[in-house]
Amino acid sequence: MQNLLFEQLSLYAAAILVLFVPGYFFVSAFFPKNKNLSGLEKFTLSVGSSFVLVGFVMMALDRVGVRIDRLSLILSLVFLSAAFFGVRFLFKKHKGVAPARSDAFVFSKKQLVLIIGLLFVSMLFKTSYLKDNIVPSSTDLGHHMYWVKQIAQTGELPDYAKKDIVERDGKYIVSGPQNISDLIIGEHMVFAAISIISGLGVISYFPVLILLLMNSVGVLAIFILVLRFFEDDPHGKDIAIASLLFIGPLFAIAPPQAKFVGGGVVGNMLSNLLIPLNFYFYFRALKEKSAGLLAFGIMFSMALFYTHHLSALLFAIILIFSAASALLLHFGKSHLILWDWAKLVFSKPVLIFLAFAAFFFFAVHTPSYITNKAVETVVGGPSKIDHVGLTLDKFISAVGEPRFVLGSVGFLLLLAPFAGKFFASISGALRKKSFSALFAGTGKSEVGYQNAILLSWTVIIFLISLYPTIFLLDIPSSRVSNYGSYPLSILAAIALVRIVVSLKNGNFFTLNKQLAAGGFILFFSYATIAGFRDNSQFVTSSDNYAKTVQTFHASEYLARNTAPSDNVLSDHVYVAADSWSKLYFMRDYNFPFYRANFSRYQNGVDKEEFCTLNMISSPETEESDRCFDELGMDYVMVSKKNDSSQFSDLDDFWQIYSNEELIIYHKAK
Amino acid sequence: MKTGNFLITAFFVIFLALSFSYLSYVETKNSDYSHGKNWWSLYFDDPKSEGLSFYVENFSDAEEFFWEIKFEENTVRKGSTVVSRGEKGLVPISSSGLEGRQISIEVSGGGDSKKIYKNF
Repeated sequence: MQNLLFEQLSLYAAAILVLFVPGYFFVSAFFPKNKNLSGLEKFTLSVGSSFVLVGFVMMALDRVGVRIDRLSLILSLVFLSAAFFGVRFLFKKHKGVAPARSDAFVFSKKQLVLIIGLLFVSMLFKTSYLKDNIVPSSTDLGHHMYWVKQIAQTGELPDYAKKDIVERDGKYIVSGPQNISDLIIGEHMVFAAISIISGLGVISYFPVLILLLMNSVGVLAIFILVLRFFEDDPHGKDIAIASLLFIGPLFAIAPPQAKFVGGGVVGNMLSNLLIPLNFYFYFRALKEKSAGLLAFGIMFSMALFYTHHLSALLFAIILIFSAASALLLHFGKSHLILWDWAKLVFSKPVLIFLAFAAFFFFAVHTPSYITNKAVETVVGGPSKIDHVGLTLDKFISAVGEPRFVLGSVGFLLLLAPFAGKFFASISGALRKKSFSALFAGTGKSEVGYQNAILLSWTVIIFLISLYPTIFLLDIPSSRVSNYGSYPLSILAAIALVRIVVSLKNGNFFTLNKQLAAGGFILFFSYATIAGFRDNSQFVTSSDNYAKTVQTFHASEYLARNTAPSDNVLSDHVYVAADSWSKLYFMRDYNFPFYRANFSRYQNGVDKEEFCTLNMISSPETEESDRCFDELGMDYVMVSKKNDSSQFSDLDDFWQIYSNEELIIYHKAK
Repeated sequence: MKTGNFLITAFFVIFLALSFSYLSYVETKNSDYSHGKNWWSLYFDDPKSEGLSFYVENFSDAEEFFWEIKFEENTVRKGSTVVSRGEKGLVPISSSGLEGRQISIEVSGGGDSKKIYKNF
């Protein structure tokens, strides 16, 4: 118990130093002094900024050849924080009066109770789910933690490469390291920093807890984003609180929430914090015409590109469409808008940061997917069956039916004023027989960047999920659809609040007020029940950890008793937590070799060798014999229940280890 | 004017800390080989050589383990060993006098049995 307490304190201290302190001082120093910043925003931005800064620091340390260890990390982060504090101290004297506090962040008692209650219920659901998934076992997380452990052990950032089984000149061999294009450094640095500083190993609770932290702060990021989006709306706070409902307690576990936390979908989790913060800065920069905020936005965009290329690609497309939408929706003054944007882009803060970004990209660290030319693998149209687009049913199921329905209403409500003006303009243009009359009225209102962002965010995710061929993209469609839950939650919140307000004001079309209210209450009950029911189907008791620890025990035995020249084969199909075995050996990302899911051998795309399949499924065949001999495979770890029968009658296999779940065989020579 | 931002942030951090504490406690318990579990493992001390010494590593309620050394299906030696929960016990076996195609070691304990073997 004492040990656990000490570990906890180490984790908290490391998490605060890595994921709060540098960001706090950075925001204090560089957030534009003439722009207001609430306490909640400062907290959220501090975590996001810390994530970004720690990445820069580690890449810089690696570039100059300094070993990444506890001392260098603590000194760098403390020094950086002190430098930011110094900057803040210097500039504090020279600045004028602070801006007035924004009413958007002033909450009544009732609102506070609601917000805190929603956060509590959301955390409760996620914790309930994670208690059965906290023992590390998920495949994705195991893969990522290999690299985290490597950084912690070597003190260097890794080259993402792995050995593989290939056939060359009619012989099976283990190849030299081949580049891996879909792992990106930003997914691993913050975990490595916390592991190194706290001393906690990666085969523990801390990776899932850090993902939970990022997920939770991501929810806060959406909250502050919506508060800023609707700062000028009399019901803005209500919309933000309703958003908190739709991304908090409702669907708290379905992807991309707690299920992704427990499943270790690291890139998605981290991006779900970075994407809202990106929108936050770009929105405020454009609305408040702030070059400093735009520089922040570009910094966070850079971090996104260093963290998860799929998220970065989606964000870039959404941003471009948002810009185009803003121009289209306000076509009458688009020339003025473009001039405003130009002034922001060609400003000192932005140009200084762009110069820094270019220097960093070319001279310090270039993301591996650029150097590996992995971009070519995601453009050109779908190449796999799960990349060709989802059906509408599957998309609705992915985002949650109530969110989709209410979100669609919210979408139409946002679009309606512009559609109304547009149709009025068409009729005006037809009457006057004038093309320019089409855009009459589009130059008068304030640019609603929040509308452009929300509409584009939703449309792009929807289109890419269902029709990726439009964009010539080759990415998993179900993965893309998970990004839809955030914008649809905001749109659902808009719809909910607008409907409630209309009902209260008695102007819900011409329907009888009671009837309309009754209908709405029914629908809202359905939405709430669906969201909580979705949670309940995931919260089931599980003792998978009993199987997981046996895999760990068997892996420890093998790691202790094998020589560097010995080859080991495991099984992904029936062995629990098999992707974590590699952390006991730390010899290669692909070691032990493993039999993959059967579909990967059948689809003709994923797997080009069949040795890993045959050596376990049919070890008695000549082909398997050849694989064992040519690859020098010495040990096989398989499920006792599912695969031991293939080996029990074979003379050249010794059964050397047995527990409840697994058997290890040694191929005697 | 109080905005409530500090309260929201404070409660958020408290909820997170409580969740962290609870989950780390659960993980520490669940990842312990022994805590709340009932299993044991059997393995050779040296998996590669012809040596037959073996370990019983115990994470179950059983403490006494009965072993038999078999040549083909015939028992040539037997004995027992006591291994407490959380411990591992080495049973040294001399291979002198033991010859044959397959020499197997069968161990039973707590109503369960396991086997390891080497083929010569």
